[in-house]
Amino acid sequence: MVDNDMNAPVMLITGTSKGIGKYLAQYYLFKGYRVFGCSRTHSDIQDTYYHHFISDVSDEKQILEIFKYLRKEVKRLDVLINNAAINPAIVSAALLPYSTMEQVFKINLFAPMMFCREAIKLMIRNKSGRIINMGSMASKHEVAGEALYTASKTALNAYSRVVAKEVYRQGITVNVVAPSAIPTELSGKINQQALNEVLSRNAIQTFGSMEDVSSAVNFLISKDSNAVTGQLIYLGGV
Amino acid sequence: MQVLQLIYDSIDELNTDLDAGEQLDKTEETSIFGSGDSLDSLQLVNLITIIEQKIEEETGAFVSLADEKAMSLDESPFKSVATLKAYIEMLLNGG
Repeated sequence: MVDNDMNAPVMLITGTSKGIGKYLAQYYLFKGYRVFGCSRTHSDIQDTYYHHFISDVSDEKQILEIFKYLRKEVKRLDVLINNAAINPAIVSAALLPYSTMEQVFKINLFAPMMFCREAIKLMIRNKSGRIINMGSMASKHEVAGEALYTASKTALNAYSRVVAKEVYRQGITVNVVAPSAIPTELSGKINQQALNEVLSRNAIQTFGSMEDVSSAVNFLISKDSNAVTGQLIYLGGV
Repeated sequence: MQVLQLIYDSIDELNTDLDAGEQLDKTEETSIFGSGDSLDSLQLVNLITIIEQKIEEETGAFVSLADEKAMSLDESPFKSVATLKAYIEMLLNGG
């Protein structure tokens, strides 16, 4: 464990009230980072070096408030992890209401795009930064009934690869980490039979772990990974 | 707020990161973006960020220069120092 201090590297993670986001926030606090997190609800993370924003990431104004705080109070951002996402119930594309399409794209695509936009403007000042967007094995498996979620995550992959090309000269890398199924509240809401069927397509057919995710993120945010950008890293042998 | 001076201060700051041949002159006629001898897209982002930060420091308010309005105008506000000055003044006046 490294001692945190006010000069420690600064990380912003979306969706930190539970699941992978909460795990990553706690993990990087332990590693000595100053961590800023957000979610629609309170966080139970108690740490001097953790700051939580209660924000709806589908609302641009609330995202801008987070960055206003970072610009004024912290003046830097070293790592952004776009983790917040929703996965609607498995349903035929023929039955998807427009409001669901809009909500999924707002949270799974437009929010990461806005976080990236504002993060790049902060990172560009230090000519250094790491952006990790959380992807999904759904992009590879193309599961029937998950057209909306898959479309949103696959769009995020494409976005990440293009942005990586735009910002590399400024010392910023952008990559996607796509975890295998991990036991979280989000994965718990998915039809378990369908989930097992999807896992059976992977080289590793069991659930993944939070540690798999932090290992991949560790690699991508290290200074030694300067040459790794625009990559999609699938965990679980997808 | 002296908008032109704020832009010039921002150009000074940006120029420290640019090679001699890329640096912007501090005149109202200087091309910023869109012509052959102007900034590339990332250098423009950098300039916009510096200007937004200076406006925020002076006024306490965050003004987004690359907003929807800027993207839809017939003449880009980022074309030259003069167009950028006019656009910032309009935003600051609640336009």
